[in-house]
Amino acid sequence: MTIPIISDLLEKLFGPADDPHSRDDVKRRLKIVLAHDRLALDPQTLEMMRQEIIAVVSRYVEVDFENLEFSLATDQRVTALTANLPIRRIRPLGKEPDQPIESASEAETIELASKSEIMAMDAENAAAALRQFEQNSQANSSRTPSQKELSDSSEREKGETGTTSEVTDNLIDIDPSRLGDSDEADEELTLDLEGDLADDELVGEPAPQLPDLSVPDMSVSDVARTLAQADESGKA
Amino acid sequence: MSRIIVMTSGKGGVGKTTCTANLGMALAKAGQRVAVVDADFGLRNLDLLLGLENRIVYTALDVLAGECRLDQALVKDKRQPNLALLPAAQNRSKESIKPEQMKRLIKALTKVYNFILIDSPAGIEMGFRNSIAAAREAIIVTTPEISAVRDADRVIGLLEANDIKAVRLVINRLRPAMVAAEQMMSVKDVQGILSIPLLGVIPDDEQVIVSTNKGEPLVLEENLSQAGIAFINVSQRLQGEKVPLMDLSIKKESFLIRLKRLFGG
Repeated sequence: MTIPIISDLLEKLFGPADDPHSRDDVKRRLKIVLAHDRLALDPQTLEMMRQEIIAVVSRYVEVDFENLEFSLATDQRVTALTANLPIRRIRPLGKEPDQPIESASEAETIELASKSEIMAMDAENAAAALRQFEQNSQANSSRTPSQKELSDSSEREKGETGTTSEVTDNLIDIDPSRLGDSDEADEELTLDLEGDLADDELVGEPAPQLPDLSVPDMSVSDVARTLAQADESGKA
Repeated sequence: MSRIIVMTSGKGGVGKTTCTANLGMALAKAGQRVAVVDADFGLRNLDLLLGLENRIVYTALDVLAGECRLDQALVKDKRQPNLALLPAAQNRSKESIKPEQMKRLIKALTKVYNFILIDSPAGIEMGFRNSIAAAREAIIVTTPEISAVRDADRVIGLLEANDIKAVRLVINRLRPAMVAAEQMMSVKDVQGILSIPLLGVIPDDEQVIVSTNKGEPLVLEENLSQAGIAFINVSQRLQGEKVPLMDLSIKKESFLIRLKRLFGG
């Protein structure tokens, strides 16, 4: 009997116990569902795109399959596909893959594509953009760092040639022995594909004759004054 | 140039018709000549909220069929002569009228009225398409609930696709105490997600039900309720006036106040 009374007393004094805020839940759920609604891509196409992006990226770097994330987010009526692909290590092009890279020779930043290429990758021509991206990446493959050091490495694994089809196959048959061996801080490669899926003119220009209330946070004193006026007119 | 505004939401039951009735009445009170058009064929309700249900003789369909003139179908409000209702047919379906016919009706109304508010039915099918056919502006009515906001977002996309660019938001049935307790999305949350300009916020108010019971829009009351004031504010913003948002925030009680109350303070 006493415990409910005490907790009741405590609640009266300190306010209700901090129960999880459903407001945060609803915002999170709504943002995800709206991102999908606005993109209007069916799940199969989305999955195909996901597979293709992983395949392309895997040709150049070894991706941490356990921690990769694809998500759709939407802001200001623009939907963005965010691919978060933690990189285990660089895969040397044309050389045997899966050779560990000396941490001293790891690339510091990895640029996936130029800004304009990323912009071009909207939902409709993702495939075409991916092809363009592949060509460019091949042209830039000479940038892949320190092939010399890699070839000197003692831990050479035989039997993998790094051709496209075989690497793609590796996506499906991931060798678990290789997944666990690299615990160095993974670099993360984030790929943002933004598309103007909505007409932002609407957001940009409210009708001229109307007050723009799109920024609702007026100062507290303004708000208090309005309320006071409303109260007075209510009493009068 | 008349303003032709569609009131729409996607989801049903969020307060489109209540908003149409109150905004129409508030604009008429402010001296505008207003026609409110019920585009909800088969499930008309705007007549009830305005208390005009017993005065309907002809409907929009009778006008289109040539059985009466437009002015014969219009029900003029006796309390507020600036306001007229063009009723929908109750015994017909939403497919009984086409967007082109709706455009003709609205065009005829623009000769006399300078504000035309079209009360759209719920959904995004034929009735919705009829209601937006002639509109040049839209007011999206939503509540701070996940389903209403999702449907509103869909409708905003459809309006954009139909080249209605002036789309503004009314957030209805806000419960400030729940927002303060972080159990409801705030005005900022909803507006941020939908990313369209905000026209107003209507607090949840029991008086809305009382006013529908009587068939008398809130804005006609002498002592305006919170929701009534909010509707007046929206109508003034629609006419281009700068009216600040009502403060609906509820401050969290301090420890001392709670202590005082506990000991009968």
